[in-house]
Order: sequence, then C-alpha cells, then structure tokens
Amino acid sequence: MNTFLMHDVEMPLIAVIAAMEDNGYGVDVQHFQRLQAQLAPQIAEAKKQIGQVAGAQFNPNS
Amino acid sequence: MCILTAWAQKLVDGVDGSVSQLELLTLKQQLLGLATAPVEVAPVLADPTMPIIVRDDAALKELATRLDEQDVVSVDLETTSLDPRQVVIVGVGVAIDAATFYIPISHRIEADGTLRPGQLPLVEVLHALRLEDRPLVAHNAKFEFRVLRYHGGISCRFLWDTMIGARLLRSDLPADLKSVAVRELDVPDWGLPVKEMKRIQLLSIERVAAYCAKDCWYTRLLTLRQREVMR
Repeated sequence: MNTFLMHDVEMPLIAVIAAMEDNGYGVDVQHFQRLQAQLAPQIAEAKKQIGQVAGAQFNPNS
Repeated sequence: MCILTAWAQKLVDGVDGSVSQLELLTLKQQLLGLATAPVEVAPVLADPTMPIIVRDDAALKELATRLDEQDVVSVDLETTSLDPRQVVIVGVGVAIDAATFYIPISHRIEADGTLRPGQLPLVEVLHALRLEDRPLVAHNAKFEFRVLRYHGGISCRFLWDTMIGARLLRSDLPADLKSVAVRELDVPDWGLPVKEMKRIQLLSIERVAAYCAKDCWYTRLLTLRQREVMR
C-alpha cells in the first residue's frame, strides 16, 4: 500500500503541487462565500459545544 | 609473517618425543602452512560522508560519467533560504553508491562578498550533470524540484522522497531529515546551527560540503531502507 502511495500518488503529485504553489489555482469565490454563510451557524454551534466540553471558551482555530 | 614462521618452527622444534613423527610432521606442516598463508586484509573503504569536492571541469565530467552508472542518485541543494523563488543556490550535493560529491556554486568571501575561487557556474554544472535525466531521490523533493526549475530551467524526475516515506511509515513522528536519520540510521545529529545556516553562503566550502554530504548520504541510505521496509 505504501509503495503504491509513494510511486503512484505522492511522487507524480510533486510536479502538480509545485505548479499549484508557483502559479496558484482558480477557485469559485462565490461558491465558497455561499458555503461560508451556510456553514457559519453550524460552526458557531460546534464552537459552543467545544467550550462546554472543555469547561472554558477558547479559540479552536489557534 | 616472518615472526609467525619463526614462532611455528620454534614450537615444532620444542615438541618432545611424546608425539609421533607422523603427528609431528602433520603439525609442522599445518603450522608452517598457517604461517606462510597470505594474510587477507579487509579493504579500507573511504567514508562516504567525506565528500569529494568538485572544483573544475575535469572533475565535473568525471562525476557525470559516474552518474551514468547509477540506479539512484541522491541530490541535495544548499541554498540561502527555504523559498524556492528567492533562494541562491550555494552548492549541489550528490550521493551515489559509495561516495558523495559537493559542487560549490556561489560561496562568498565574508570580507568583501566576492565569490570564492574553485567554484563552477550553475549553468555549467546542470548542463554537465543532466540531473533531469537521472533517477533522483531527495528529502523533501518538491523543494529541489522547484529550485531546479526556477533557477536551472530543468524539470527533474524524482523517484523517491524520504520525507514522504517517513510520513507514510510513521506519521506520528517528525519527518525532517535529521530526526528521521537519527531515528532510523542511528547516526549522530549533524545539523549546522541556525545562525550558520542563515549565512551559509559565507561559510567555507569544506564546511558546507561536509554538512551537505551527510544530507545526501543519509537520504540515500534512508531511501534504500524505506524501500525495503515498504516492500
């Protein structure tokens, strides 16, 4: 499995990822803005629950 | 050998009559045979982490010829930073089956910033070595790939990346070259202090060569080991 991952996935991806890092890549900005608005309430709720479980509020993104 | 022969003869001469003549003769033959047998001395192999520094066209050409015979060529670039677009290539390290090489490119003299003598231009090095045609391995090959493409205009083919290999095998442990080599090859840490890494271009060619050679050689050893483990 690891050999397959190395030879058939990871190594061929080097040139692809290098090109992405060098040139950037296009994204559908409007799609991600819609997604952000859609997920915002769920994220807020998840943060609230994390705070309750931890016993204190903190920034889970940090 | 002469001392041993004399010793054997003395021993045989000293044996008293309690031993039969046939036994004595056999013993004498065995001892003399042992004493005169050619002594097999194990060849002293050069330490592959002691690099050969390539300083001229002839040595570069010889290295290129040796690369033709290799199934795996470990490569490591010494650079002034970690941003592939901003770096200056200070030197190129290569490890093959039993040796490491360091090709100084842009070491500078601290006092006046001029290039040290005994170095080769990057264009000439890349033209001679044809790295884009070699079966390369590296630790964090993407960095070497990007630097060589930006600054050398070549697109290399990497067969193995020991950093990726380390992550595939032990994703819970650090995957930087020093950590992996110390852990897997049981070698002492050979890193340069951060202060020195930041001024690598001003360090002596020999110092960087010694450091780079270990990077290359251990990357090569790790490649072989990881391949074996994954197999």
